[in-house]
Amino acid sequence: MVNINILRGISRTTLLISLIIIIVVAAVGGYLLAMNILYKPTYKVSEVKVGIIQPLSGSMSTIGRYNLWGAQFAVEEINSRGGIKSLGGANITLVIGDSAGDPSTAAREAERLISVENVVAVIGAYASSNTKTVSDVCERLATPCLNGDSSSPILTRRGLQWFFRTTADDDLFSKQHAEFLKYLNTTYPGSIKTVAILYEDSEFGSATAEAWKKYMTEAGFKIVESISFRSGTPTLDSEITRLKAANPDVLLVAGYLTDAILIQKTMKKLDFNPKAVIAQDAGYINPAYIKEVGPLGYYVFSREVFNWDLFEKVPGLKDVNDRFKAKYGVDMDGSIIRNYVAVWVLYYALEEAGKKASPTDLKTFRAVLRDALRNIDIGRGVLPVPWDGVKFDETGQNIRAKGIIVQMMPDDGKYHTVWPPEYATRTPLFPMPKWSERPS
Amino acid sequence: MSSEIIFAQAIVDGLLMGSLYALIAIGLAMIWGIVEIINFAHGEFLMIASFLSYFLFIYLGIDPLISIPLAFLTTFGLGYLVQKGIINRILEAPFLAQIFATFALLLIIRNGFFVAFGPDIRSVTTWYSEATIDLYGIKISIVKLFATTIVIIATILLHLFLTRTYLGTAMRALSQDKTAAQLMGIDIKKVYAIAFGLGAGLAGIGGALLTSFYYVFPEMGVPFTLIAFISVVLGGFGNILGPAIGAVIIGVLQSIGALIMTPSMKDILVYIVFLAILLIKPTGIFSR
Amino acid sequence: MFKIENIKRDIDLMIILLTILLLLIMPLVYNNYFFINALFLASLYMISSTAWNIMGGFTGLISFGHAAFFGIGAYTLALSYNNGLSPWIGIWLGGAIASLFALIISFPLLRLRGHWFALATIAVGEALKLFFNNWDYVGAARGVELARKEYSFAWIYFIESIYYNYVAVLILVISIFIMFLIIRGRIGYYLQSIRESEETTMTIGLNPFKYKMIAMVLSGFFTGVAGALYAIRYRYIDPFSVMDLFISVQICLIAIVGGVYSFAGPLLGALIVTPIAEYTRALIGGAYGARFFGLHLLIYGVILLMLSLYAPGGLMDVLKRFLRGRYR
Repeated sequence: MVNINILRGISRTTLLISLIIIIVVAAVGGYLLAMNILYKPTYKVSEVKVGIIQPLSGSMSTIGRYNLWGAQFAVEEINSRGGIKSLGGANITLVIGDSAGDPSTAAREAERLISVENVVAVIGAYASSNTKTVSDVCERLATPCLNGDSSSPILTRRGLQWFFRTTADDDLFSKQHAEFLKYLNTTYPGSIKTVAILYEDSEFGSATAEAWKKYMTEAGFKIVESISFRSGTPTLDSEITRLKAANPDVLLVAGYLTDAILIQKTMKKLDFNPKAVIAQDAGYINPAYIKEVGPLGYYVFSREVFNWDLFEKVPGLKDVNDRFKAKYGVDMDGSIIRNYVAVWVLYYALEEAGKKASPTDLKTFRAVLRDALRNIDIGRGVLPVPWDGVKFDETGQNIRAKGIIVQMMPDDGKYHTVWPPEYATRTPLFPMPKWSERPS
Repeated sequence: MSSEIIFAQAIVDGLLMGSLYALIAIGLAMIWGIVEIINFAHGEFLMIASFLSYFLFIYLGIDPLISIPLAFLTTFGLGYLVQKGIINRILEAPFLAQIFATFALLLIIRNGFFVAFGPDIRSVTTWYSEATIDLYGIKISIVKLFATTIVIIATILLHLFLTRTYLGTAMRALSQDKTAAQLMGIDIKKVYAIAFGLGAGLAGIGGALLTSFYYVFPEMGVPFTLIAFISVVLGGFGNILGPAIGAVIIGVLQSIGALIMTPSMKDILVYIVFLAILLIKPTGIFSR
Repeated sequence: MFKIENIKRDIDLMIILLTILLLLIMPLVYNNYFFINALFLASLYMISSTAWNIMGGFTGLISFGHAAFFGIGAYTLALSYNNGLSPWIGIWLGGAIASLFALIISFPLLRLRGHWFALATIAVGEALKLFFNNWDYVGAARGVELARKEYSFAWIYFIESIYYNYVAVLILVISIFIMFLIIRGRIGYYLQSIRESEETTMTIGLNPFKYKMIAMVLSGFFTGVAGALYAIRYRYIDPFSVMDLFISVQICLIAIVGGVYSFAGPLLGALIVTPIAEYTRALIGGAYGARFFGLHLLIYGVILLMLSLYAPGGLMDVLKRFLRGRYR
């Protein structure tokens, strides 16, 4: 029997107020408990499977392989730093799919990774035509699709809910090309009036060419010639001859690896001397191209998403590249680093997702992961790229992504950043010397 | 730049590339005409020789142009073995079985190299790689000019072989009338093997020449095989001059086609001309 | 014709029924999605390789340009789908347009024989591919992506891939039986006669050109249907994924490996070869440590070589020898 003596001396008001406070706290506490805020259940799994699709056989396999290395490197880093902590230190296991550069094979690989290998997300697939089908499969099977390296604008214009792209698209890059040309014109007044476009005819090149036509015309430049070619063609003699006849001030070019090498060789052979050549990444920034092309690639500009000389300007970059180079023997390039960054972005999302669900319930986890990506907010300087960070808009596009312009310098044969000025380490060399004026 | 010079440049480029196509086409025509088999794997012998010259250059410093005789011998030997080991066994088999034997060969060789050496695209740069002669504004690549010379020499040697030697005459006899040739005491299987070897060897020379200005990778044979086929049909195959001229015509057509129409359409011009020839004179322009 | 005893004696019919049964049951039994996708791919080849064989094995017209029909079927479906036409109609429309194309090119092409015909088909196939690659109306090199509709049977758009397989089986049953009845009828008989000797066929009062044309139109129709099925399943097509020489070669090879001298040979070929090819690609192709690029194709080549040397009649031939005497 309760000894009501304890309660003697406490006024009724005090008792009433205390009772109310206790009830409120209990209610709120119970509510928070129910919402898992106070007590967070931690899920512990040993591994989280993430799928990656790249062209590992066929004509794009060199780039595909490098991209894979970028992703693998990031995975190793993450695992060696303790894995996904919200899931009890789970390691990321990368499950590899080979698209062979073909859209339907890419789709089948995506299905295999999602339905058979049970990955929580798919990263991929470099070639925009392959990314189209992969993202379609991911949408259908409610799995997050994270793309780090396809720049075709149309990928984020299809109303997909499960597709995210960390890199900027070719539309933005082409706009930046026009800005760069205007910038050159302020330094070397009136030198650039006409441009010509040379582009490979699949999704990548065609979308780039369209964007160029739009932004160059808007910026007041005249397009004097526009020629497409099939990537991998053994000869471009006639194409370059036509360009030579059109005599543009600047040549804009979009091509893959073999195309880039061939274009430079043919330009020298046929003595085609525009004042500048500006490339749209892809083949022109591939390490294999840089190795093969040598002096033939000097003075060429390209847009890039990253460059080795940014380590003075971008925190953490030099260190990452040194370790990557020690392991794989080549410097990182734009595609490699973008796959590296994609894995890291996914990691941050996984940490968030791991607080709310476990990969053992695949369907829920994928949905939670998708939401984590939607809400992700990474600021400048966290990732080793010259972006303002990562934040996706409602179409899945990272609106903080940016590009830079680099130029291959004749003193060391490497690309140096020349624009935008806040990241530039050198001034652009313009116009480029004619082939006959260069030391042979 | 005046349009005459542009046009002339295109023709020169076409002729130079066409002469290389010619070498490969002649090899194919020989195999087709003498052994009567469509060699889908023709371009693969080219590729083998290309890789060989590449490695000789990288590891032993031997210039690709000097490696030509070695490339020829290697592909000749391989072709000979292929004929003896595989084709000779299916001579009596239906048309289809022969097709898929050479196609199987294509898959095996091409992917064998893919697995062994990876898909990387390799190229060789020599002191003369970029050199050109300037002729009234037309730039002629020295390498390609040299390649054309080799092609001409090879063709002449081949012609002499076919007309002046016993073996060569035996081959021509076989291509005209198999039964009669057998009745004359010619050992068909042996002659077939040598013929195939020669055809492959010619493709091999083409491959070694390509190494000096093109790139080397397992799938490089594809466009050349296709063009070789078209050349043979275009030029007819009772002789070696027909396909050769057909090949040069194609080279020039490609070149000029890229000037007049969207360059990626230039191959359509080649196909259309090809179809036209097939319909008008299927035995080829220059057949007897 | 439909008595049980007669069916048992007819090995082609047995294989057709067996194949359909397997396609219906296996996805339910072995619920692995990779396998299910391989079966879908196999169904596509069953239809197109059987169609190819009408020209190839039965009439003696070897074609390396069937990708043209496949691609036309795919594009027709894709474009009509995006313009609101139901895919259930679109699939057959794809076949129809492809057969129209076959009709048109039959006039010039059928004047050629043997090797020449084969080479001409390569040229037609490649030229069409290049043409589509430059034709803006069909998206040129960027291809056509199927518009997003509601998930439904009406639009053949499913979340679970397995339903695509059953749609394919439905189309397959219709296609295979139509082709079967035609080939087992008068027309098939005439075609084989043409294959053996055109001159003799003419002496009995038949016009070989007319029947060769029928063969082409038929062959083109069903190959186009297969192409349309590809489009509805993968929802993105471009000239290089549906019109390339490689597709023509695949169709032709599967028919050859299966056996061109019988109706059901290509069916057998597709059923056996496609899953094996898919599995070798996934297991030891490019993805296996990303090291062994192309190994699966290498093995494919070796198998093909062995077949060409020892069993030119294909797998069907091997099967028949094995079942020696029991079936006709």
